[in-house]
Amino acid sequence: MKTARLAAGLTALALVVTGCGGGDESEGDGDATVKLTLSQDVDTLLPMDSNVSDNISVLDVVYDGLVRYDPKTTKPYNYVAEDISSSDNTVWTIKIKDGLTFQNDEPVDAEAFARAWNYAAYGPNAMGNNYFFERVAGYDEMQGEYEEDDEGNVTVTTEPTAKELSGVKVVDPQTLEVTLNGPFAGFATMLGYTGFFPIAQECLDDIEACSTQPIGNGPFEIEEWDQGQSLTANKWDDYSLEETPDFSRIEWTEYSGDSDWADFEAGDIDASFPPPAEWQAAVSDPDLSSRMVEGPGAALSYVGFPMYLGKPFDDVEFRKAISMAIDRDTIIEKVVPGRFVAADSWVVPDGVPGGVAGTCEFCTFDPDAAKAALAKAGGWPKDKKLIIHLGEDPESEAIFKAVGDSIQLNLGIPYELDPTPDYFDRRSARDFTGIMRANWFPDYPLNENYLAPVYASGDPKEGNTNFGYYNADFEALIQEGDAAPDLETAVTKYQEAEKVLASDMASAPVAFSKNVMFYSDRLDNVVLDPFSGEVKLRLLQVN
Amino acid sequence: MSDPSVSALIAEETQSGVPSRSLWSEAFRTLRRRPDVILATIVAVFFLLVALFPFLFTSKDPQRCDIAESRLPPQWFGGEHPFGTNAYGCDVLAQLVHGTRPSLLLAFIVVGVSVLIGVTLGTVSGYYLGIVDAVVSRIVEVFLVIPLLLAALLLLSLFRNIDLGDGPVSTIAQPAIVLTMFAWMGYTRYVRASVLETKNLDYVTAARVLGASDLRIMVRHVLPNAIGTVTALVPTAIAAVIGTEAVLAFLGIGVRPPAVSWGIMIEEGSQWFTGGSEYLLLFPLGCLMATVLAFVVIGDNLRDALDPKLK
Repeated sequence: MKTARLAAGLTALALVVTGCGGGDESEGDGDATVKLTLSQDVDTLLPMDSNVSDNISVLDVVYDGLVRYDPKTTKPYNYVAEDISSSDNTVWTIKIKDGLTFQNDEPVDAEAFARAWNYAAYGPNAMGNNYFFERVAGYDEMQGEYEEDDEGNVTVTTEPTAKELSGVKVVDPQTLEVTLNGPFAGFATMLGYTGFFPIAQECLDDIEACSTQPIGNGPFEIEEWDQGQSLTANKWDDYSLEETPDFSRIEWTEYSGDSDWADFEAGDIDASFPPPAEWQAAVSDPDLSSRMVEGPGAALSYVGFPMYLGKPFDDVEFRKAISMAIDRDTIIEKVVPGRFVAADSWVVPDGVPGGVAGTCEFCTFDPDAAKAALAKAGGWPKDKKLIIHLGEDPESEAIFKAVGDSIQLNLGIPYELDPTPDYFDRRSARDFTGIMRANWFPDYPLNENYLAPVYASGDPKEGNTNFGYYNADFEALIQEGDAAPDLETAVTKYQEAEKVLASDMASAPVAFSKNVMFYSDRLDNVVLDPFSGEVKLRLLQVN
Repeated sequence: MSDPSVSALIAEETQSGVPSRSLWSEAFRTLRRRPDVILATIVAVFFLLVALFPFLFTSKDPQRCDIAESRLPPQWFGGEHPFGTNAYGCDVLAQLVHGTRPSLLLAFIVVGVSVLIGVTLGTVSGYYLGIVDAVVSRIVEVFLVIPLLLAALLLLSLFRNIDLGDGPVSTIAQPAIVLTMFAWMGYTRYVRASVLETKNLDYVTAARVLGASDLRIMVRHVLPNAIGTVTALVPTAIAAVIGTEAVLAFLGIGVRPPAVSWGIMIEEGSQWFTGGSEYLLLFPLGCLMATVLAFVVIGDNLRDALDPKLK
């Protein structure tokens, strides 16, 4: 539910052994340049503030996190961390590898992580990844009250009482001790996310400069960022860890929307995907389609119901009716071919631990059952239009026009699309009078991330902010999962929580994203990150 | 003094009646003899009929879209979807037919209101001159120097979130207001110029001497002379507005969905042109071009026929 936060820089790399194939290949002269696309909306390269797939994928080669994720299984493995352990899932001890440095020779030690986390968690800094630290002890004391205007200027109305997270303790230069508010078995899984990257002291001293010219600890150094035009990065020669690709330079050109496809066809950039109308031409071109890579994505688009409005949205039969009236497969095939797959679960199947297909019984297209369910719910007021609220995005407008058509055709409910630029503000203010298009982009690979942040609130009276959903069983199962002794037990508990959502039909899953990329013949071993959909730069080879 | 030839001349002049009537009937006679005008009129009347009585041409609801029938090619007459269906499975013929009304209604409203404003302001400023003329002329100049597309883009995107409802008029209200704002200046100038020319003619002076009020002089004696030039501009202006509407819809800020207009259809169709469904673009584009061409031809000929300077 945060398109703006298209989060999750879980761009990962297979373990060196599987990834680079041992090193007996001599391809790649090491001088090659990769030319890629960057969205024009990217406004920062500060890890604490980067939460869209574009800057996350850039930072993935500029920074190294404590853990990285296996591209196939999405399981985390230690990278900058030597060891991460906890006896009770509340107090975590993180050992950091010795001898690592930033690109300016500062050491990458416990202090480097602590300063980044404290900066991100401090409310008035208004960092995009602030909310990741809410599980850490001392988070609440650091928030205070503040307002941020459109320019990013912050006005503090109440000063926070603390400047540092009381739960983050630097034991010695290589050891960090983190105390959480309560047990959370998935904490180690979160640590590879962009928001948990370390920063150098020099960066903290001049945040402004650092947000355009980051000082990383990864295999690439940012050379120059001409904002709105282009971004270039060169290989950092002193990189001491293993995961580094063969090419020496990356050039990103900034585009808005789908406009990079023409330049890709002209050979000016190395990887791109076509706009919907050109999809058919692209896949039927034998040359182009031989250079296409597909992979499952992780983002879920779904229909949210304003249950706080009461009838008919709070009626489970009504929600079932809407869900069963949507012909997911045909809509995707006709409107956005190749970019999505129909969803029948709330957690992406096989993409993250605990995700299985088919948990949503009423996500199958069945117009007759839909009509019956609507009748059971008491029908829809005649001549009243069902408003579908959504953000201003051509792709989701296209999908949800078709969703509305499906509802109109199969249930006889006339509809109207309401694309609004203030989608997120209006939704959290409960300003919606009809169903809404929502999107959830997971931040870290764990099924809990699809459930608790979206539907849990702990507020039996009002329900969660966005939909007004509340179910005590659901909340209890999430808490049991958080408190579980190991990750596997936790995942099972979260799966049970998903079943509660299914019986409540708390929302209607519509589609999971599918990652597709066409690449030029210069590239080899193109693997897509399941979370961001971007090319995994560390695995890429250039001929 | 009773030269027979002079009195015969006078008699002939009075016989042909009020000068304006002869102008109109003569124009009509000229136009009637031109095949291109007749053809253009048939096309224009046809589309007017489509706009007025859409149900005569299709029985389908343009909003009823079945995604399972997406992008069916044209089945021509006899098929379920004579002109095929679009990407969402909506019937193209039904959309074309129902899209005619917003396009034409917008054009007629914009031109009608502009002519009204232009004639009023032009007459008043030309007749009274002085401070009234100075103010009107400056306003005209201000509006003339602002490029229409820039202003339309700016205003429509500024106010695109204001919802006026979804009646047939309210969906086109915003583009109608904006286009009218930038369409009235031409008429004002034309009318002002002809009023300046006419108001010092002898018969106007005579009327004034006889004690006619300003209003009567303007309406009965000055305006009939000026209206000819303005009328000749109207069909061309209608064509221009239809074209501009398509441009605005193409940019996503014209007539708003759920209303369908040709511009919106062209915009949607253009995406699929290279994707093997070129008919999605060609049908609305064809209708748009036929209508615009028809009105331009009528306008051109009408001007030739009505403007005494071109004779």
